[in-house]
Amino acid sequence: MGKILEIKNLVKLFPVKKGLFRKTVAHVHAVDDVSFYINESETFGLVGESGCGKTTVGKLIMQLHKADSGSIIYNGADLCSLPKKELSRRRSEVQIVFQDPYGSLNPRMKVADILSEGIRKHRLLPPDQIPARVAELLRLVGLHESDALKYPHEFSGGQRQRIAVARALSFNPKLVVCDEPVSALDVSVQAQILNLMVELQKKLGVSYLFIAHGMAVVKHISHRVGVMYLGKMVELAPTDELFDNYAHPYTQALLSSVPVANPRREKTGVVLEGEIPNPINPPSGCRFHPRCPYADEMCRCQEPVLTEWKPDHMVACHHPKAFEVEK
Amino acid sequence: MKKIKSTSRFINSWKKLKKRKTAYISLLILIVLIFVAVFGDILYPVDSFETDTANRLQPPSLQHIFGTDNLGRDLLARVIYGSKLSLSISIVSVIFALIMGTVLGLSAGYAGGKVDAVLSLVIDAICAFPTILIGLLLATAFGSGTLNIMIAIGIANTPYFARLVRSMASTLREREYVESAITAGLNHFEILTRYIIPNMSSVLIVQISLSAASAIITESALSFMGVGVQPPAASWGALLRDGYDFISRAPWLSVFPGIAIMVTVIALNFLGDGLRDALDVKIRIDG
Repeated sequence: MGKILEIKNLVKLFPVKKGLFRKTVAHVHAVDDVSFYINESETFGLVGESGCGKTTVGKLIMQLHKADSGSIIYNGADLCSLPKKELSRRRSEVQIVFQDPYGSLNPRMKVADILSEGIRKHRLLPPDQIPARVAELLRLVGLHESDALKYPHEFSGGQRQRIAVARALSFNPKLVVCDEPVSALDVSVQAQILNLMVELQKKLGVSYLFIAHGMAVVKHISHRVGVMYLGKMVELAPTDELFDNYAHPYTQALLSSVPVANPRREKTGVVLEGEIPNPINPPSGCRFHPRCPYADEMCRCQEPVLTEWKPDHMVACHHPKAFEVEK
Repeated sequence: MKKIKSTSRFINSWKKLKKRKTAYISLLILIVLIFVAVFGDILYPVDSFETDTANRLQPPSLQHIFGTDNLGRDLLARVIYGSKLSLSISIVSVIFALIMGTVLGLSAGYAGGKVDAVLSLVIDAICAFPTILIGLLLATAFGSGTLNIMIAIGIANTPYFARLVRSMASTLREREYVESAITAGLNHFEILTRYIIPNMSSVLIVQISLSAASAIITESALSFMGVGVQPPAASWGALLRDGYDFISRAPWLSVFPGIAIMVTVIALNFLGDGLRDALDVKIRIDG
């Protein structure tokens, strides 16, 4: 299996501007030195709290934001340094499904136009074959081909998300960035959309970058998972390894926040205290240390590097598995 | 493939507008007014410029339904003639403001940053000039006349459109469907014409009807002060001005043009309110 996307040392700072002359007074460290890769036909889950920079990673890959440094290598070419024309062609192979199914579809366009826009723009098909392709896409995501002539407001949230998936697929993408695609949906509908995505991956062989804030959803769909905290990747491992053998205290905290359907279950794990620190002024040393129950002097001074802790299992922590030692 | 039923936005909005009785009646009144303005010469073939000194200042009668003025001219013919001027000044100035305002507002709101800062300053500066002053300035610079009054009112209305368009463009720009259009590789022109402008149209239509009403009022005020349309041509405002001199002897000279202005402005405002609801997808009008 080859890598379809490789991200190396990606950095994105958002300037904070103040005053009459909009002088830059500080920077928000949205994404700070993040590296990972995604294999072909694989789902990579990216989890973390709100504001940890996971959505920014998605938008950087889509080139909706320009990265400050680092590279995004898609199929051998660095998207950050491609000329505009080449980028326009390449980017059609990478598509995105947004979180809010009510905001991601143009309310003034019929479904058929939404689905055919990319095909027309990139001349993926001759015009006479487009209606058939639109019908095929609608069937593929479980909608009826007669829905092509409707407007987005005539659909429910789940159906809209299906249209958003169909829109992404209309480009024949190799990679789809899914930015919390089920967070805005009912739980029953969430499962339908997730199953649809798994099914489409089997059929079409697309790769997903699946961004989410809930561990349960990520476990269900991902092959490998990366955990982000305050713009940093803190743990990265294959899904089963990460869920059974997590080593970073932040991952432990995220996992213990997943509700279990057993009222007699003994409460284990940790509940994080305090707010997520301000990314304008990230803490010194390990960024997690103010909230970490196992932090010591070294954590406060020295920043841990993401290193291979076990084969295929990367952790950025001075004391991996510290919680087990304590027991 | 069998024919599929699709609810068109236009038909939907039209149905909703019909349910709003005041707006619907206002629309009918406006259609009648425009019809009369266009076909007035055929409907009421009396020359509005023909003087008849024997019949000066006649009160309304069967012969002269609205009465006559100080030169014996038929007032109904004058009011019909005035409707041509008043309505066309209103329409042209609003179209002018719409185009100027949309261009300014789109550039500011879509580009953002420094362009936005500079253009917003310009827009605010125009706003600070009273319409009357712009009218006076244009009249002194180029002479008073119909075209200048159209431009003056157009300029005065431009900031309202520009601000509206700017704020909508800057919010729409951040919408996810616009981001998805960028990822689809669409260029700025395609995004503006397919994503930004269509999503502003309903708000703009409402603003057009409200601005048209205020343009009629402004035109009347300018003409009343003598900076507007010049005699013998007479808009509704100019008729009011003429009637002012005879307000105690011949009040009908002021009353009928006044009613014409009032009916048009109220109808436009009611239509604007109705359109606001009718074009909003989220509001359902029952009954």
